[in-house]
Amino acid sequence: MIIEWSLNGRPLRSEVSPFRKLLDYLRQDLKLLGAKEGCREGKCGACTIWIDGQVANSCLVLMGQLSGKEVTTIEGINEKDKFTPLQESLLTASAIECGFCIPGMLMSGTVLLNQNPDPSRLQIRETLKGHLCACTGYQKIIDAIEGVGLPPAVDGRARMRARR
Amino acid sequence: MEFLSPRYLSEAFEAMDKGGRNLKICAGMTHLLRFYPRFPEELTSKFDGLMHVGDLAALSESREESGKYSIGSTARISSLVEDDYLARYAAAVREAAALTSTPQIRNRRTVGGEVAWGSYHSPLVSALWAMGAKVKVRTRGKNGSAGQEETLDLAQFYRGTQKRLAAEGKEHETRSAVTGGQDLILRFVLPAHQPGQFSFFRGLIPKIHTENSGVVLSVSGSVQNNVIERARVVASGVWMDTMDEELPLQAVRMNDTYIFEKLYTFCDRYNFDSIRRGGPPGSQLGLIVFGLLKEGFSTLLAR
Repeated sequence: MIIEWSLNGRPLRSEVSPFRKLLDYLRQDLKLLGAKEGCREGKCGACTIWIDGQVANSCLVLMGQLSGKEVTTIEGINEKDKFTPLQESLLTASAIECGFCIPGMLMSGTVLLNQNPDPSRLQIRETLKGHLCACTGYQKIIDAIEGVGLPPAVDGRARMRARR
Repeated sequence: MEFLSPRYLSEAFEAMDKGGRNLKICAGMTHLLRFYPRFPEELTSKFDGLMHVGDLAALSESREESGKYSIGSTARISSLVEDDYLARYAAAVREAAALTSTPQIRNRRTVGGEVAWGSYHSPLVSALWAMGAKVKVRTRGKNGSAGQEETLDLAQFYRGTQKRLAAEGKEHETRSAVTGGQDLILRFVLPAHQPGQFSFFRGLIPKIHTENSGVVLSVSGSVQNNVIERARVVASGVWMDTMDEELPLQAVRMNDTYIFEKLYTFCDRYNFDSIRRGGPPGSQLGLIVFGLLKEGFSTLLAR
């Protein structure tokens, strides 16, 4: 079946089985390894991507469902050689441990920040509900998302906000 | 296996009525792909094809129709969270939608899919049931004739329990729907809003989202001159079958803490052992249901 869709802003015509999972197609056929393969049940959130600007688990989407859709992976949100504010904040807050969950967290966090540039910790927690971090580094990730609205790091001081 | 993705509702009806092939209807597919990792090979019932109706615009919109509110079957659960009408007049449905699974799942899963799958722990099923929602279904045509449209109460939509089996001995008990995988759910219709009507949803929502709720509960009712006219509770969950009862609160004043005594007596006397499916014993289930009712009514009284 030929699927006409768009990936990271580029229109694509893909000849692929409609029953193939999007995650497998991205990782195995297109070699886009940013979306991680975790539980394959939509529980860990490591494979989170955007479909028409909304977060979704790529392990729970069939290629046949993507006709006319706009898919964005983590590879598509970067400007060339430049971190997004959330990526920078994750680094300065030392929020990245093993890094496996980070692409998914970043996709969800970016959507939240696009909708609300100054989210509360409760809103951030609710947004990250569909993600599991095996290193249990949730607090620093929440700090990093919360800190995006603060001025950029100067003299090694991380973008951190005092706990409310 | 064939994969159909009709663009219009008429195309979907035509495909359903065409004889000689079995089409399984699907939309968001979050339940199917989560439960059957090797979908579609793993499905126990065999189909000739899959018809994806998740992008049919005619089924995705929600609108007011002669006073009643009609929710399209392929409306995403996340769209109910942002629905102004539901926030104003059907709080239970909106609250239940907001507490369904994760943001990623809510963006993909459809209301029709949630109801068709029929999990006991589904917040949305309990809320729609308590609100007295009706389900409009279009059955598949037989012997070349066109299918029929039927309207059912959500309470009539289910008959008992079914066990779904997947790979590696995984099994999941859900409600069994009277319709099959080849029938199309069109809409859910909420009754017209009446003055004084109230509703709320409460659930024992686990902190870890990979666990399912032991008990979810929705209440709808009406108040006139600060006196409760009627209140209906629908509760279910991983630990219990569906409980659909009128609460004994008729003629009780809304600002009276006597409500809580009445609720306690009701929960104490109700035979929870008869609907228990697992988890804590019946007496503790009664306390859990009382706690959720108390929390919900306390919030209402505070308003």
